[in-house]
Amino acid sequence: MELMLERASEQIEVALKGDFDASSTAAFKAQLDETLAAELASCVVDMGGVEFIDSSAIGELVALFKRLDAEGQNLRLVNVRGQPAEMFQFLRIDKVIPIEVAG
Amino acid sequence: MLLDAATVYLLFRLFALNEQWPARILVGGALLAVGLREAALWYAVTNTGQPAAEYAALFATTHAVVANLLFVIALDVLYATQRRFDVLTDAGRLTEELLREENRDLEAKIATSASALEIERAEAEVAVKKASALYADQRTQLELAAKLQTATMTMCEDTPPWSFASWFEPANQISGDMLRTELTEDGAARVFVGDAMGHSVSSAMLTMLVSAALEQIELDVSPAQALERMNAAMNSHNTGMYVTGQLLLMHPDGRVLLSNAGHPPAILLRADGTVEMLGEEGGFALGMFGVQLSSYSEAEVQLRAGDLLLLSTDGISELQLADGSRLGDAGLAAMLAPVAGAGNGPGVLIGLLREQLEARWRESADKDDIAALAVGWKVAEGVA
Repeated sequence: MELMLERASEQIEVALKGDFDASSTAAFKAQLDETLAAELASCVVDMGGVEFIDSSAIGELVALFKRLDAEGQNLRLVNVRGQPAEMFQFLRIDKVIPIEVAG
Repeated sequence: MLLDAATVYLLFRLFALNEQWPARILVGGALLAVGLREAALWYAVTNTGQPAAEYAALFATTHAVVANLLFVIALDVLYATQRRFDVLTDAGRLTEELLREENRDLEAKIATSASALEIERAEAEVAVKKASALYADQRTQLELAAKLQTATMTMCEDTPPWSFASWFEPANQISGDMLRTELTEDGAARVFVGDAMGHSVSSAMLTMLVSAALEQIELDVSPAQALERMNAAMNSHNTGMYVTGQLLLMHPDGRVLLSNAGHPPAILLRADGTVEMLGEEGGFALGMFGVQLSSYSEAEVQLRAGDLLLLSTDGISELQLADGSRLGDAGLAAMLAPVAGAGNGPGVLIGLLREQLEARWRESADKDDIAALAVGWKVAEGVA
C-alpha cells in the first residue's frame, strides 16, 4: 500500500492507495505516530485508492480514532468505497467514526 | 689553438672523471706527453733554432693528443652507457624490491583477510545455530500454543438432533479464528464462531481470552446478552484489539436465537433447496468500542428437518479468487447452494467447501485463518 501524508494548516491529510491489510498496518502506524508525536492534530484519511481492507487495518484505524478522540482531535475517513465501505457499515464503525462514502 | 683547446678539455675531463681511474691515468698521461713535448720544443727553439723540427714535434704531439682525446671521448660514451645501464639496473632492482615488498604486503593482507573471514564464518555459523535453535524452540512453543488453543475450542460429538462438521485451518501454526460448540443438559447447542483481528500470536491469545469469557457465561443466557457480557470483558482488558463473532443458541426443537458482533453472516441451507443469510445486521465487534456501545440485537429462526447451517470466518468469504476478486458472502452462498435440499449432512457441506476452496487458499499469498462450522438438525441417520 502507498501512503502519502501531508500536514495541512490545521490537520493531517493522509491518502492511501492499494490493499490496506496486515502487511501495511505497521508502516501506517509508524508514519502516523511520528507525525502526531511532532504535533497532535485531527486527521483526514482519503481512502479513495483502497480496494480492500482487512481486520488488522480496521483495528489500526479504530485505534487511531480512539487516540485522537482521547486528545480532543478528530478522525475522518473520506472517499470510502467498495469493500471498505461495506465493512465499515457492516461493523457499524460508521456510527462512531465520521465516514464519507465516495459519490 | 687546437692544442690549447685539447689541453683545456683534457684538464676538464681529468677532474670530471670521478672514480674512473683508467681514464684519468690515460688523460693524465696525455697531458704529461703534451707538457714534455712543449718542454722539448721550448728547449729546441731556444738552444738549437731548428723550426722544422719544431713543427714536426708539434704535429706529432697534436696527433698524440687528438688520439688520446678520441679515446677519452670513447671512454666517456662507454662510461655514460655504463651509467645508464647501472641506472636501469638499479631501477630494475628497485622495482623488483618494491614488487617483492608489495607481494609481502599482499600476502599479509590476504592472510589477515582470510583470518577475518574465517572468524566471520565461525561467527555466522554460531549465529545460524543459535537462530536455528531459537526457531526450533519457537516452533515448539507455537505447537504447544496451538495445542492449548485447540483445547479451549470445545467441540461436541454428534448428538441427536445435532450433527456437526468443521474445517479449521490456521494460516500459520496458531489461529486468530475460533470455534466452540457446547450442549446444554436439555439438549440445546450453543455455537460460537469468532475471529480476532489479525492472525498473529496476539490474535490467538485473544481467542483464548474470548473462550474464557464465554465459558463464564451460563449456557442458557440469550446470545445478545452473552455478547454484551463478552464485550464488557474484552473492554475491561483494554487490549486495543477486537474480535468479531456470531453466537447461536439452538434449541432442540429447532428454534435458533442468534446475535452477531461484526461477523460474516451465517448461511442457512434449507432442506427445500432455498438459501438464507442470517445475522446480516451486524453489531459492534467485541472490544472495538466501549461498553456504552454494547447493545446487540437478536434474531430468531426456525429450523426444519434436514436444514444445514454454516458459520464461517472471513478467511473464506474474503478469499481472493483466480480472477483477483473476493469470494464474498453472496459468492459463498451461491457456491454452497447445490448442497441445499439434497438430503446431505454437514460433512458433505464442509467437504464441498474444502473441495472448492482449499487448494486456492493454500496457494494464496495473503491467506487468512479459516474456520467453518456446519451444523445439521435432524439429519437422517447414516448421512454424512
